Amino acid sequence: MDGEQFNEWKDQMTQQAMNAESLTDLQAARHQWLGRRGTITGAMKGLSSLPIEKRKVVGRQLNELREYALDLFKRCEENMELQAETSRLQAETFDMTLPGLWPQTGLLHPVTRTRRLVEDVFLRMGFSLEYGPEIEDEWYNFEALNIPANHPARDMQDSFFIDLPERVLRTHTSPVQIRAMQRYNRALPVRILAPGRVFRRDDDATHVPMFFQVEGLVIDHGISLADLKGTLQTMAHELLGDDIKTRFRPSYFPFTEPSMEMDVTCAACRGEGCRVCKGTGWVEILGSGMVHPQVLRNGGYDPHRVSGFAFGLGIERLAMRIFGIDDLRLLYQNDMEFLSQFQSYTGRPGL
Amino acid sequence: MIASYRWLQRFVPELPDANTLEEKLTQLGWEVVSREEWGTCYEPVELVEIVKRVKHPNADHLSVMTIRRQNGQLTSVVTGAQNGVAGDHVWYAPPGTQLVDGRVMETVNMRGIESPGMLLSSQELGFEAGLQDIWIWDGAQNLGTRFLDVVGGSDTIFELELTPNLAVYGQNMHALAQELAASLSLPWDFRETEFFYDHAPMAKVSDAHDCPIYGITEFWIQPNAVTPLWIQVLLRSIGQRPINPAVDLTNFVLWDMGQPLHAFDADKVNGMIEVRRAWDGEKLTTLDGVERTLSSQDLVIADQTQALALAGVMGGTFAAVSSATVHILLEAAHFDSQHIFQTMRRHQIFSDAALHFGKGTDPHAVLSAPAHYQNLLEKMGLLVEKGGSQLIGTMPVRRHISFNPQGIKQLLGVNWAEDKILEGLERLGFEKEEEDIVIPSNRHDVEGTHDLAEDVARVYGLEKIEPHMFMVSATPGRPSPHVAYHELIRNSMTAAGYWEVITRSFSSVPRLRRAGIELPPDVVRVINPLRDEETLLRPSLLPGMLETVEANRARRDISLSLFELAPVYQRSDQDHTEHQELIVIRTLDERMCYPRPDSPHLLEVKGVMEWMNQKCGMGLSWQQVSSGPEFMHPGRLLVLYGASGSVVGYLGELRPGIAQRYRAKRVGVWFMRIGDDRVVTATPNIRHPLRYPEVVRDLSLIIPQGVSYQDIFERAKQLRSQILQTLTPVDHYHGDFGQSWTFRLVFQSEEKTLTDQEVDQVIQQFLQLVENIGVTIRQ
Repeated sequence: MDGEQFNEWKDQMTQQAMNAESLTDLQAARHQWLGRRGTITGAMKGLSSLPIEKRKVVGRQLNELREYALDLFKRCEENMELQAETSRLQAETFDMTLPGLWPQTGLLHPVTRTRRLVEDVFLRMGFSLEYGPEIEDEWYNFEALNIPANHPARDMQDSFFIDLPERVLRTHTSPVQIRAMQRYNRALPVRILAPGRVFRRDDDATHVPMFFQVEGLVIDHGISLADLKGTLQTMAHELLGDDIKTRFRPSYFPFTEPSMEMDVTCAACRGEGCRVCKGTGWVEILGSGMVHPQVLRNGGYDPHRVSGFAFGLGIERLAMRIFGIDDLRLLYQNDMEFLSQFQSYTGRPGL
Repeated sequence: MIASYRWLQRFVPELPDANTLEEKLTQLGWEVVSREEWGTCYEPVELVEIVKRVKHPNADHLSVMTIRRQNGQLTSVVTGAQNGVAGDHVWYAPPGTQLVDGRVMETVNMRGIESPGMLLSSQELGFEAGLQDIWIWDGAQNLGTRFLDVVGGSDTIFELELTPNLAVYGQNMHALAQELAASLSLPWDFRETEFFYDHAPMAKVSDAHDCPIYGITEFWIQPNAVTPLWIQVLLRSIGQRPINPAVDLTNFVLWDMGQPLHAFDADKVNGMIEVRRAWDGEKLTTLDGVERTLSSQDLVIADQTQALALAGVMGGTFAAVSSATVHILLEAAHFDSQHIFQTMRRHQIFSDAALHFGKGTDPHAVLSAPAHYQNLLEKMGLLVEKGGSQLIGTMPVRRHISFNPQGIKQLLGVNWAEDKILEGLERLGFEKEEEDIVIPSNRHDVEGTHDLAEDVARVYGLEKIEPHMFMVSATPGRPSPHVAYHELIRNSMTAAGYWEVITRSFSSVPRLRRAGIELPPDVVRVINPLRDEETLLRPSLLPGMLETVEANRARRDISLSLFELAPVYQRSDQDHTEHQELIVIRTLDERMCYPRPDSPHLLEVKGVMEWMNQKCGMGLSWQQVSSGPEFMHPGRLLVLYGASGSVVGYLGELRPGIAQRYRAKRVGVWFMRIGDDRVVTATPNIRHPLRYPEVVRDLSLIIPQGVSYQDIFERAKQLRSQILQTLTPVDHYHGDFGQSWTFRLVFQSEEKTLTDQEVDQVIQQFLQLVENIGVTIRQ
């Protein structure tokens, strides 16, 4: 017995293991080498007849050979079992082209999502959220905002009246300006955002009788129109992207002076001019202005000492701009097929 | 308002092109709704000469005119006109020409003769040229001259939308031109003369509040005259129809300088003019032909017999001027704008005069407008003689406000020089007098520094103001705790797989009835609803939600899991309350789908409530009841109690009969009030995970009729066992032994591995307790 012999054995058993066609063949081969009467077992028994020096060398070689054989047969067996399992599983083929079963997930209404997007922008700028009643006192909705009875401006917003004296369904979130000023009770700075439901007697593709607005109000020493422009521009970039352009136009609201409206580049044509923007490349998005001195007084603030700005933004209009919807009424039909489209990624992780 | 480029150019000769103008108008706050070219329809119309006129061989009232065009070409046209003889120059519209009224000229066969196009009357071109059929042109223009050239070429017309503050002074070309000139820094030309009234006793005003200034003047004019074409063209271009000189001039002055004038036929006026309130029931037929019944709220211009005009709104037919009128009374007045505005709305007469007076006119125009009118009459050679005149009332003193450039700069956030600010204001007609700014008499909208700031910003353009971020102490923004709680509910319902819907706050009695809800006595009604379905403010979210189910299921067989959190409204004494209500709805119809049918169970709705109760700390407890809201299934109903023990809502199945009205077979509903006082205060109670193995035992129990799961669960709770963690139903049988439930009991200890003996002991105690209510173990 010597190393050469062992190498021969090694080759032989490897050949056998590799060529075995079945588990039975493999077990027979294993038995032939490693069984009680197997070649390696026999050789091990014969070790005792060798002189001590040679016994050490041959013994070590024989042990190595045995380890090799054990590992060889184990690996081949595992391999064979795996192959057997694979062919068994292949017979169990399932049609994986069938549609997957989607998880039952919920969905927030796009108006809620858009509202939260706006709230988030302003919360990050340090604005606090304020709320007011939907059935509002006429004083808060009109008089306090510089819209006296018979003022032509009451023509601008047709109101819903209810069978409660001196109450109206609020036509804008602006009365929350007054309520917030009263609550802050002359404290500074006032920096609030008031989201909420408002009502106007209008119903067409761009107007619904109930919709959501957010009102912003900032009052402090030395607040200026430049601050308003800066704030609104920041908002536009946060909401619509950094590449959005803004344009400010003078306008009129009884409760602000100077007043202005903000336009943003039309989403449909990116400012080239199209049907949606009536060829101007701009879409109006909000009204704003410096709080009228009388409105500041009505809220308990002295217009000689402080100034403020305010703005009001329609959530639906913004949602239309963000999601690319051309009819406002779709948002309130609650058609699941329509809403289900809002499950898809909108391109903004924050929405 | 419609504005004409050509008209504006009369005031500002160096007016830039229409594109620049549109940009400037936008910058100044005048919204340009549309812009179009005027006059293009006149392009093909050319001047021709009649060379022959013969009677039509087949028709008595028609003639055949042979005309010569510019190139000498002769054409025959059939006409019904009485006038027009050889040598006359007339306007010819060849085939293809579109007339002002929209007709397109073609070649037509008229009684056997082909007639290409038409010879035109002045009316067919949109103008007045006296009593004649076809328009015989007496101008010296060459043959072939285009009509467009004699009206001065085409014009650009802007349709403008005016905000109420601009409407106060801006509804005229003068004001618009002034703003444009100011913002473009261009010279502008507006010479104003003042009329000198004498003191003829011609009129009286009963109440100076209604009519602070009233001017009246008597003129004798040429009858049957024609308004010069250039005035007709300007009126036509802004959509006004020329009528006769006396009327056209009032319209011209109105749009030129914003002062409505009214001309009465003086020969039809009986005695002195009186500006007075109408008698209740007094009748007046206005120029639109409508007989109106007036009241003492209306202001009229009357003579000694009757009302002649609804003051500032519309004249009456009786003393209306015609082309035959030779003697007129011209009224230039300044009325109380509120009064006119209300009359306009009450009678629904939105005349140009009312739209001007109703917004407020310039009192000074009572002097300048008649001067303008007289001047035009003279220029036209129509003025025969000026008669007496009278002015009642006094001009108001010019208003001053202190000039505060610092305040303007601060409000705008700019660092502009004082001179620049003053210059901007002066260009708009403001004047500085010592430390004050004198407000132009037409600017009723200006009250203080903030108004001046707006004008300065408009003149220079808002884009000239550099955006800036305001700075205040960096305190964090705060959401409201109440609303944050509502948002938690919304987020949790969404996490539970429900879709949020938003429905309108309106409802109606039939809509409530359809959902099985009787009209509550404390409902809030809408006085002026848009439609019958929206006559009240909803007392419940249920009808709107069921209608959403219906609308969706009308189109698709779809199972729905929906929720809404929104206010419902209720009146209390003389006031009202808005409550937040949560409604959760799930259709329970089976829906086919591979690999197993999808069959939502009512217990899933209950499960959502239980989960929400934990997740949102709602503090709810509940109890099965056999009666509640009439629209609910009485056999499957839970009443929900809030933390204080009062009823806050219900959960169960809708009566199937009602569900079917909305195209659903079965519907699970959970609705409850979310109290405004409810702000969750809870301390988190998080423990370590249990490290010892759990022991699971399934017990099959025979449950007698009338015993509910709750009864068994309560017994298990009575054990107060430290190791019994859960008791859940896992299976249900019906057999000859009655009904049987298999419960899975899970035991686990915080301290050690449990022995069989310890678990068995608890089970024995449990079985003893339930034995009292007739529950036995199934062998």
